[in-house]
Amino acid sequence: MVFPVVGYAAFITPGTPITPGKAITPGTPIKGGSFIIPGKVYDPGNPIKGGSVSGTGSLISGQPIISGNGLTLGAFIIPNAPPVIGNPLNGIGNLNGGTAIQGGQGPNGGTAVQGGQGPNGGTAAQGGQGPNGGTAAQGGQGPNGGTTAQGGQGPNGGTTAQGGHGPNGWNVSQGSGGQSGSGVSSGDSENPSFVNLLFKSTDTKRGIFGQIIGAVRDYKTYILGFADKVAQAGAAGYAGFGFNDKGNSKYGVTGKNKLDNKVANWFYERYKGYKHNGEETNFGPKSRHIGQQRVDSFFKSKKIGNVWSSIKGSVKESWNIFSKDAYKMKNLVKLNGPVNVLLSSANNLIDYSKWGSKSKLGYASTDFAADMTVDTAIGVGSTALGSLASSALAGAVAGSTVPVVGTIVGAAAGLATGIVVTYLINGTATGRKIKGAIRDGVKFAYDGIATGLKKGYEKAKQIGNKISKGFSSTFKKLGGLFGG
Amino acid sequence: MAANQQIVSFKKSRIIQSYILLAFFGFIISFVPFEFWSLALFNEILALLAVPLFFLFLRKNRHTSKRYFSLLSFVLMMEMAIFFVEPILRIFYGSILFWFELLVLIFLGILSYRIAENTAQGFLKPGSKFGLIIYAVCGVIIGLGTIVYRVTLAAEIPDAFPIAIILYIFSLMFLFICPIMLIRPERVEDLKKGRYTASRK
Repeated sequence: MVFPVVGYAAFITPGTPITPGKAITPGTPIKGGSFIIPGKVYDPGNPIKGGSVSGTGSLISGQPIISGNGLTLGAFIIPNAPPVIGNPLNGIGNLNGGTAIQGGQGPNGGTAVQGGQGPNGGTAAQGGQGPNGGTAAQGGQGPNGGTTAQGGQGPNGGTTAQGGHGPNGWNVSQGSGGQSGSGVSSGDSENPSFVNLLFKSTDTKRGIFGQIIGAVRDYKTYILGFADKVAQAGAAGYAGFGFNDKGNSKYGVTGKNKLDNKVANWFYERYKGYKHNGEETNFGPKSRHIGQQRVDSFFKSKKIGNVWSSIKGSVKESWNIFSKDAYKMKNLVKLNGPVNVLLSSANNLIDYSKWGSKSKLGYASTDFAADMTVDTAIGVGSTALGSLASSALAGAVAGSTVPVVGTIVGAAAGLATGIVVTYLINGTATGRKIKGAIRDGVKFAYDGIATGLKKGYEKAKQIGNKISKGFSSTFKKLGGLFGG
Repeated sequence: MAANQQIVSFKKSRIIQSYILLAFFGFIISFVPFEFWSLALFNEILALLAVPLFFLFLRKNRHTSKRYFSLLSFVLMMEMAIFFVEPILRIFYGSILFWFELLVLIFLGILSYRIAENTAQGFLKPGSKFGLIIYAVCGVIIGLGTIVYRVTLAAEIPDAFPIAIILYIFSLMFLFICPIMLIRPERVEDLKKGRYTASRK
């Protein structure tokens, strides 16, 4: 079948063979060109000048990089104006702060859900800073004080609803007064108003129980502690009561027998009352010539003269709850002894109760025991020191040419001691540190005792169990002996 | 006077109690408005300086108890007046109020010496016009002190300023009262009996 196909190509005749061509010769290589010379560098142009800040308060402020509606705390340009520090007279309160719980606005705008700033006060729900104060629901700082609902600090004093303190803004000479500006952690250091401080009965912080106890305290301070004593001394002074030294330890009692005014006479009679040889008595109309012993007893009853017996008497009267006399009606009516201890401990009793701010800790905690111990110790110490100052000065003046002055200067010295000692403990950083250290020390000791007791109890329990098991197995064995 | 002839023994002289009182006040006052140890040292030296004075008074007036106790009271009140004025001067140091407080102090100090006998009469006769004023003013001052004490006691962190103010008022009161302790017992007896024009010794 192949041959016929070949037959069809018979007309093709072979041609001449192709002669090979010349080999291609390579061309000349391209020479490298010259490099391009860089041109002149362009000079930079003038920077665009910043535009004017909108708003009226454009003198001191920065502009937020991120607009104030960010969800997280925004970063802000630090305000140009340096914070004003060093005028403590302006320290209390917020100078330029705004007030809003949520959202915040500075003069340059910016509303923040969380965080916000304004140079002259900004407001933010959480956080927020302002050199001249700001208002924030939680946290916040301002060099010139700020107002925050919870926490917050200000070197020149600030006010916070819960926690946070400004330092002592009254300190003019110091200027900064930044000694004690903390309290964020404490959480319960709300500053009560002046009226609350003056009359504890108006302080509603501790509920109705706190108010009742406050009213009793007010009665003790102002009625028993001041008005009654002043009225007694006034009535006695008006009646001309006194002792006329006749020498040889003999005295004459001067003054009217009674006063016409019934109320004044009631105070006068009480002033003449004293304790002699353990019995209550008073200088009646016939007590005109007396000996040294009765004069001494009178001064002792009035806590004038003998310093040590006055201190002992004052502390015993106010704080001793173990004597029988402490529970006598006369002493209880004067709110001394157990009533005084109860009144002094009232704040702790309420705070650690079921309704108090420290209810989680409770009465069984060592914190409660430590607070009670320290507060009672401070009370006893203050009473003793006040009595020392009062009786030492009054006693010295009582022997002078104008003895009646002794009552007045003695009272002033006693008050001054009470005021300064209280300030020393609670008002100075050193005092607070010492008080805190003592409180912690007492708590540590109580914790140690409690842990020791617990361990002892568990150990005893283990021993008890072992003994019990021992007895049990012994009885079983014994029972087995008897077929039980 | 019989009463003036009582002999004062060292035991009854109250020198130790008085020194303790001064040393105590000198120390605690140096903590208002904040601790100042140099001032504490100064106050302690001042308190210590009173002791030789007390001994001198005792030596000179051992047989006149009223005179001795009057002089002792004078030194006590003077030193306490100095201690009590320190806090307010520290607070206002560097301001015009500092000088104002000082001027008031000097003025009252001078005035009180000039009217010492009138003041003594006021205390000795509470029913008199001057006596009523003195007792009323002293009552108000003690009342203010009670209020400040109460506020200090109730405050979580007490403020130094009202304390300094009340101590300053106490200081003025002490300064006002203390010159009457320099009046001799015989003269006081004259004043008691109404012999106001008797010559001074």
